[in-house]
Amino acid sequence: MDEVFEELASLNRLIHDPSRLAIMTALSSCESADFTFLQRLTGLTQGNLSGHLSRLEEAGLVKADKQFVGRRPNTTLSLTENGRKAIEQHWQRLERLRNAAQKWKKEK
Amino acid sequence: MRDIERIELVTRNYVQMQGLKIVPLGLYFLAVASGILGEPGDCTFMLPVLIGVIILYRLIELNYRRRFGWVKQLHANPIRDFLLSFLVFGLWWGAAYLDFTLELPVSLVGLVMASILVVIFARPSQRFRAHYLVMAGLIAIISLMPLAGISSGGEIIQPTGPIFNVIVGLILILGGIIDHFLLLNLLRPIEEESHGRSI
Repeated sequence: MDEVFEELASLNRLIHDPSRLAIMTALSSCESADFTFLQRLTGLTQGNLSGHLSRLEEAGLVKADKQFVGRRPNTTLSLTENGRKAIEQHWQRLERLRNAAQKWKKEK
Repeated sequence: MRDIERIELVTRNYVQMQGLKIVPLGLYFLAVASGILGEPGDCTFMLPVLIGVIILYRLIELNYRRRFGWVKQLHANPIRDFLLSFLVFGLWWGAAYLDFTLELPVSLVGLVMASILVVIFARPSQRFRAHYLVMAGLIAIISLMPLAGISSGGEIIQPTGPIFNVIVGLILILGGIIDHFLLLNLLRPIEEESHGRSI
């Protein structure tokens, strides 16, 4: 049981937030996506999405590329090498936790 | 967990789910079937209309980008996609040629069409497009109808016949509209600023 708690403690809190987990999962499913797509996918407000993206960018997990498409500003977002590894490890940890919890339930 | 599955599904298939892009092509096939673009082989109207279809495709693509955003897919491989399209095109025309020359009791071109739809559905990433499987089943039944004596050989789906064009047109239009609504259903309305996060 100790390893379950160790696994729980080692979860990346920055990624584990539901909104940021959704953003990271979306970006891990593509090479890059723009701000509008992430907003329509998550339903987050512009302010909330910007806030979460800034935190992920500061942590070096997400890369933002700002440019103009015609006259409109457009931000393309993608995962950094570290970001891709981090989300992969996070999902592996969650999977291990799920398996451990199921095993625990059966034993009880 | 379901929400994560939804997010992965939409992100991986966003380009394929932009179904309205192929609706003008479906309308083109219906217009050809109705004869308003002239006789088969007469390019006076067909060619300009086809160019219009390509322009509309691009405009609808831009509209998707403006309304729902843009995604660069993982492992995008335009050369592989081109070769696959070339293979499908070759199979299509090969079947059409055989239908013409051999006067088979079934419609090969219809069976090829049904097989293409089944192959699309069979890919694990495309399993959510069950409507393709239904359409494949219907086309296969129509193609095999002459065997049951319902119609004489190859008459139902002749490659240049109006029914062939109607079927292709309807597949493109219905498939495109269903894909579009699937996309709308899977995307989220953006919440009001005061509601905070929605996930």
